[in-house]
Amino acid sequence: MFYHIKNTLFVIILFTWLPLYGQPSVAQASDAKQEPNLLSSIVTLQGYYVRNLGVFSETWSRAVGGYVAYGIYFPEHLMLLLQAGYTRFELREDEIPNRDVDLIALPVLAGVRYYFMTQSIRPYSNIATGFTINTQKGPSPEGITSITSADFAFQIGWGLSVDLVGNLELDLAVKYNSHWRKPYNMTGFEYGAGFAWKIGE
Amino acid sequence: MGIDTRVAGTFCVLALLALCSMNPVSVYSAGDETPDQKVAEVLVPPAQSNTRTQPNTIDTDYAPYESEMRFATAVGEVVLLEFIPWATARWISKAEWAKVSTNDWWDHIERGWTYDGDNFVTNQFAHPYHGNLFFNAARTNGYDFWESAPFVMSGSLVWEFFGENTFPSINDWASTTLSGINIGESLYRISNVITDNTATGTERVLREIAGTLINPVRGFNRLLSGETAKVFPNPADRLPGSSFIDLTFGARTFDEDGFKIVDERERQAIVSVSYNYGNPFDGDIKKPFAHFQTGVSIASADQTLTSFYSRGILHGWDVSKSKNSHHVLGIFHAFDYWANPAFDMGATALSSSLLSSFRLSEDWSISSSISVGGTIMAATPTEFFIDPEGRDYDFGPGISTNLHAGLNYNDWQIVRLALTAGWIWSFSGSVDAKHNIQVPVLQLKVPLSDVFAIGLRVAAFRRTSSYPNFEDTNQESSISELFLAVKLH
Repeated sequence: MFYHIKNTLFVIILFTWLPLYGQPSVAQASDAKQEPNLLSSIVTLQGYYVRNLGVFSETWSRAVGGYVAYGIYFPEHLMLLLQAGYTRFELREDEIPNRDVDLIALPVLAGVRYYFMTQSIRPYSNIATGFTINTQKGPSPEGITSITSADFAFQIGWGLSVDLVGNLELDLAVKYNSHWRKPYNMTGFEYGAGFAWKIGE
Repeated sequence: MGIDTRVAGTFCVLALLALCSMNPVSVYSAGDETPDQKVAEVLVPPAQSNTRTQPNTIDTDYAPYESEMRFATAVGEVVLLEFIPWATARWISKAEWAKVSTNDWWDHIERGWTYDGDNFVTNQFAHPYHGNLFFNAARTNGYDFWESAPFVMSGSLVWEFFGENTFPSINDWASTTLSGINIGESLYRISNVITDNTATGTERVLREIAGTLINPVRGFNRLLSGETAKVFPNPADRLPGSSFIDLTFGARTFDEDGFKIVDERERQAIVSVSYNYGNPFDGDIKKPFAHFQTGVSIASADQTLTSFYSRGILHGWDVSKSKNSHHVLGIFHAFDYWANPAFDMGATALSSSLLSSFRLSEDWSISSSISVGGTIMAATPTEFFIDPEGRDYDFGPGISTNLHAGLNYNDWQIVRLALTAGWIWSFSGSVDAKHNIQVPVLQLKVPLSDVFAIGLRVAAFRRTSSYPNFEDTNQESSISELFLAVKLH
């Protein structure tokens, strides 16, 4: 019960990040707002571990993977992000006797990241949608068969960017995934760590 | 689920609060010494209640409420816009969907997105309208178009996951967010045109009432800030370079299933109003919704609200311009809601359009547009699906194209030809269905004066649907409409 409440509260906080997009207390005259200019971009590489949820987790308990992303900064807090990933799901060991089944997901997402601060340590939140190409391979009466589908993907989460040396950044993130898949959605909490390289100024 | 209650409850409460503030005099009793007494006197001066204030009564030093981003107020209003309809449903109408617990919340998180089974009006009109309220909670608290969008997104997310005991529906989130932003910006700008900060007396009262009815959240914030009763300069971009209202009264006839003889056709009275804001060939088309068209139609039928649309430019570029021609390329967002016995259609879509204008003489011109776009979420009828909750249409994304040509005499479009064709792939409803939709329209107008015209509009709707497990189906309907048009600038 406590586990559910704790996680539910976590997701509520996760979902309410977006209004923080604005500059809260520091008033800024609208006529003084700047037009968004392209400042710089980043390339991010991140590895992640996913703890799956719900009915989906009864078969596929967890997953590991990674993604590469290209992001474009807009002053001063916003970044548009395109990312492509690779996720390999793992069968639940205690309940599934057949180990010859693979499930691979290739999520391709476009989203927005908002940085709450612009200093050397920058907490952020992000939301992204797109699609994921899911391929499940396993034994069947006809031999080894694979089924591929392209499904809607959704992700929302928090993260932290930390300047290391030069243009190198450390990138940490916790996200909630709800990727569409029949018969059950691929839902889960994703914990990621990686590096980002800033391009240009 | 329950969105009608949400919209109705929220709208009523906000409208009531704002309307109560319309007449500034009414809130002050005689002899009260209030800081705003002077302003109240200016608004309704004893001897000249219907005249404009003198220039020296306009508070030129006043910093408008929307010149600052007010985060706490915006978030508070989003919460209020969630709470009012939920509380109304939970404790007054005792709706089943509002009995939500923390266990439901966790179930929703574990299960993730699904599609719901709500009826067409709820999903395709009420949700987008509610999104417009979220949008304006931010837009009227100092945030610009893009900055306001996340408030809609998060407001809808919170509602879908935690506001109901049904599973979160992706179609609701998409409609509420994308169409809500579209409708929200349209209504924000229309409300801005209607209200006049320099007006006084009866005119001011009527303008504030009308502005609040169009945009209740903005009216509410004008009440909170005291701007309902304050005389101060209008924002520089309050009025578009050009705009006009097209008001039509008429009768239409159509059949529900196939082209039948006239005697069997259903007849309805219909009133439509459309608003053309800004000119894509003469304005700052780099700002979102610097140009948009929106319209609504009411018919004498069970489905009273028979159409509602809004199409606005997100960003545009001048392609070429010469003495007699002008071409503009634009990225547009469109919200469409069409509901009548002949066909239902709802969609939120992005498109790129090439708009062209060719000048033939001083008074005559030809306009055209070619659009190609992606439909992010569409709803279209199907023959082979009925959800337990009553939904009898498919959801899915698609692509569409639109061709349009018009012959214009000054502001009157004398002849209009349009063809819309779209393809929708069902993601929910009929399994793996594909729908092809075609809507050709021909409209003729004969101006009687600068203000009045009579017209004839003929449209056809054709849907060809293919299903892997059933035979293909066709639905064909036509609509003919005779109308009197009134053009207001």
